Amino acid sequence: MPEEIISSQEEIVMLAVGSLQPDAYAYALKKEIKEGAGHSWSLGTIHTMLYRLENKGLLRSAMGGATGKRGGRSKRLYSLTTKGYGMVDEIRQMRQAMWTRLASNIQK
Amino acid sequence: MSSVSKYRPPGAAQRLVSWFCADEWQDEVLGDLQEQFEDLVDQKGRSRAMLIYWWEVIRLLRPHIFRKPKRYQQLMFSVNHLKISYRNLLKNKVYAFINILGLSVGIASVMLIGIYVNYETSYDKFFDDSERIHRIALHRVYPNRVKDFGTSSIMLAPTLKNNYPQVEEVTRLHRLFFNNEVNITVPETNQSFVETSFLFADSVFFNVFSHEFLVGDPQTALDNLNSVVLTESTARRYFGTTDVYGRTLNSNGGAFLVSGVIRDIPANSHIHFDLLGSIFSLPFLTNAIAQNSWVNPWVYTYAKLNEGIDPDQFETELPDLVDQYGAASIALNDGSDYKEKGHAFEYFLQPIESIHLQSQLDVEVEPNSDMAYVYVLSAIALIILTISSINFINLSIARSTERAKEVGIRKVMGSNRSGLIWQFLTESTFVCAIGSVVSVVLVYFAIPRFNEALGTSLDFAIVIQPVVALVLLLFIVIIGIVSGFYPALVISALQPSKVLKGSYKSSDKGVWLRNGLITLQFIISIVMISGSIIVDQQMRYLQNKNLGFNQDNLLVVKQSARLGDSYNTFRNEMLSMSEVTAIGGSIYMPGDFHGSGVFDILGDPDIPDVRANTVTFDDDYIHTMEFELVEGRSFDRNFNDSLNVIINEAAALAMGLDNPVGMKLQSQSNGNNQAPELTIIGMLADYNFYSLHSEIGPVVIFNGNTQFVPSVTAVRINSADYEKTIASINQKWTELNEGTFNYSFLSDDLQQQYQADRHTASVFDIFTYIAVIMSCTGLFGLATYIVNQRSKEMSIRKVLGASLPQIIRVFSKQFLLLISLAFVLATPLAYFALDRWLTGFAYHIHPGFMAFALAGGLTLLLVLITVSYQAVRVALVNPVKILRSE
Repeated sequence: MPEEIISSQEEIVMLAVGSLQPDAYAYALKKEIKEGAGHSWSLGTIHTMLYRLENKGLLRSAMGGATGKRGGRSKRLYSLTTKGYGMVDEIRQMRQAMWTRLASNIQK
Repeated sequence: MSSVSKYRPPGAAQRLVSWFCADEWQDEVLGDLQEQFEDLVDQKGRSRAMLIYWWEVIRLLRPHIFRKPKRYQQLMFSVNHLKISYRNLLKNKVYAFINILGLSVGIASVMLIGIYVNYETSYDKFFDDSERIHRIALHRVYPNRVKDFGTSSIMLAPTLKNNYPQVEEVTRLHRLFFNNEVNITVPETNQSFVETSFLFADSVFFNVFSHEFLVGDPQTALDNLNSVVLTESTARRYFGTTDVYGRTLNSNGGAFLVSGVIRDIPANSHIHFDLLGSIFSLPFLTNAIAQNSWVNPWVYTYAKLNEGIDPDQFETELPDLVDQYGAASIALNDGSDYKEKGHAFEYFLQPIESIHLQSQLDVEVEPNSDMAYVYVLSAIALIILTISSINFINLSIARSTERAKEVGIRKVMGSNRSGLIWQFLTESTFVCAIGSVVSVVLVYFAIPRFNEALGTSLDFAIVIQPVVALVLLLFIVIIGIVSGFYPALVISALQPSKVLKGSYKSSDKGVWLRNGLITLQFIISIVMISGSIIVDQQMRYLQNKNLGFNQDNLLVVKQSARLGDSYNTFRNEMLSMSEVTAIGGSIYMPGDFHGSGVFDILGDPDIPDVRANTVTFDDDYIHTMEFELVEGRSFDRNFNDSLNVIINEAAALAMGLDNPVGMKLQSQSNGNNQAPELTIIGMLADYNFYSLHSEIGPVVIFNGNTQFVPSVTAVRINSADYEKTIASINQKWTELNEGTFNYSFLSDDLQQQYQADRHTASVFDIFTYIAVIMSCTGLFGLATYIVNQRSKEMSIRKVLGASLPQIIRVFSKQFLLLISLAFVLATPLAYFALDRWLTGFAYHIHPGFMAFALAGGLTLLLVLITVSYQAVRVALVNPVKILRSE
């Protein structure tokens, strides 16, 4: 079991960051989550979770390049830390293992 | 719409974000919002996008995004400020002590006076519908003068009740004006009491005044002639319980049955009684009703007006009322042409809530207070608060030199001005808060003493209220800010580089303000001290003024009329005692309320009728009291003086008689009955039969006939052993009469007249002490700092050969100038204020220059002591210790 428990919402954010990095910033994540998980979260919600995950050391961030569409403002680009990647991986493995037991149980 | 403006997000929302959002988050947050906005404009149109933008902004309100207070702002309300404040207080204990003590005394004075003012203005408001209850008082115009009575005709109440629908209820109240002492015996225990608070009212009294009944029914309590309503404590005094319905009390007038017991009357009422009987039990009042008398103002009339009735409007109907219902009765007494003669009976309304502070009529139910006291005390409260704030400001400015280094360091460390101002305001508010807590404690201990000095019944409980706490909190903040603001401004403006180099000196601007404030304090001190001196002089004058008789060693035997037939035996017994030198009786003693009558001087139609107070003496009274006979002879046993009178000088003056002896008078008081002719046989020097507040008026003195039994008897004694003398007189009395022996000393009774004045004086004294002591402590603190600041200068002077007195002189010089200025300004101020107070006495001193000189001198002395104490402290230190540090 992972030492730190993260919520399933946070897990979704982590997964989205992982799949978008190195270009994972709040608005892009919002779109990704909407597309991938079907949740319409506000920017505020996403910001808060990013902030919390970064404080837990699961994400790291850096200010990144601006694009024209943003009125010339820079983005904060998030990426998974090793610990962060380990965490989602561990969750996946745990689920996988449990799923395998479930599948074999039902097929019997 | 151009593409640029099409994609411009709502400006207000953006500004909102930049306001609450911390700088490090702003860029990305605004960027994300913008990017999303542009997408949404393309997908859903501009107005939907705007709405969503706002919604997103609102959802962004999350603590981690908020601006964090900057470093210096962090110090603003933080524990650090309080910690520094606390350390600063500890660092200089004298300063802290003076400040906290000063402020707490100031706040306590204001609180105390606030409670007092609140109490004084709360009179009679506890009655239900008190705002609708009015007393109807009488403005009585006589041919030569006017008089305002609190009382009115006994017929006024029924007339109002029967004919004026504006009146919901109207009641009459009577107090025994001349001799208010009633003997009450409780048959069950055979105890007897002398009651002075036995009032009489009609049966609807409790419909107007909502007293709470513990026993009995307010509607019927006074229906019977012999009913009496007691207060709770009176009932306990008589019977030990309040369950006393139907029990009997005996008095000289007959038996009374207790028909009710009410809760004790709160102190803040202008009517107090221990017993309340029915006015119909008093024969002279039932007679007045039978005669439909509109002439004699013998009862108080209280009317409760119906809701919505305008009292001013109602008042205008009263003159017609007198014309319509009273004219016949008045004509019987003063003639049908009474109006042409100059008589008038003008009734007016007084809201009962205002009576205690604003009514100063003749024949009040109880002596009232005066609005002026409320104003004066409020002013004093403000003055004391001002003094303590001035102390605070002065000390803070004076200390700015000391604080300058700290400020310099703080500035270098990155603190900006507003942060420093906050720091100082926190500090002053902190001191105020401590002061407030101390002041509540002070008030707790001061209230009993205050009550004792003023005869009030203030209650500490009033302080423990949320409202008071709120006001106090407001107080703390306001005083904290007001008194901390100037120092904060001055100190925070210092240039760090200069300060840290050590070249800082307190600015000249500060000195001017400081000097101005000190002068103001001196002015206040001089005014208050001279006020105290003059008030004290006047009180002494009242005590020692020759009243026209000898008040020393004079024992007053009260209710001597109860001796009846045995009076002469008593008198002879007294005269046989070696301790008694004289004994004489009268119907009133000086200081008692005197009756009056109108006298017509016979033989000269040009001389106007004179209204004079009347009194009856026995043959020995003049001799016993040591009145001075100016002309003619005194009453004498060897003559029949029943139709002879003696007048005083004031009467002779009013009658215009140069040579009064032998002139004839006739009394008009008996209405249409022909009064006998009276002959003046003598004239007494004026004596003060009323208090020194009023001028001596005309007096006509009758002689008691052989059956006359004086209601009060004066006994002149020559023994210093009062106790033994009184014991033996008491013994003689009890042999002749079973009632209690009541006595007093005339000098004590006369002093009672000035009780209200003494209260004023003692309150004035107390607050003068407070003001002066606070000024001095403030000065002490200030002197400490000035001396410290100039210690190097003084050390150099000393090294160069200055002597101790010279050094003290240098220090005191600047204060002397300020005192002189204060003296010049304070003297006229004090003079006019005191002159106004003194004119309240018909006989008063004239404030001399000495009092002011003394006040100025005293202030000067206090200042010199304070300053030289500090100067000497510095001057005695070895100069090396001070000078070597540079």
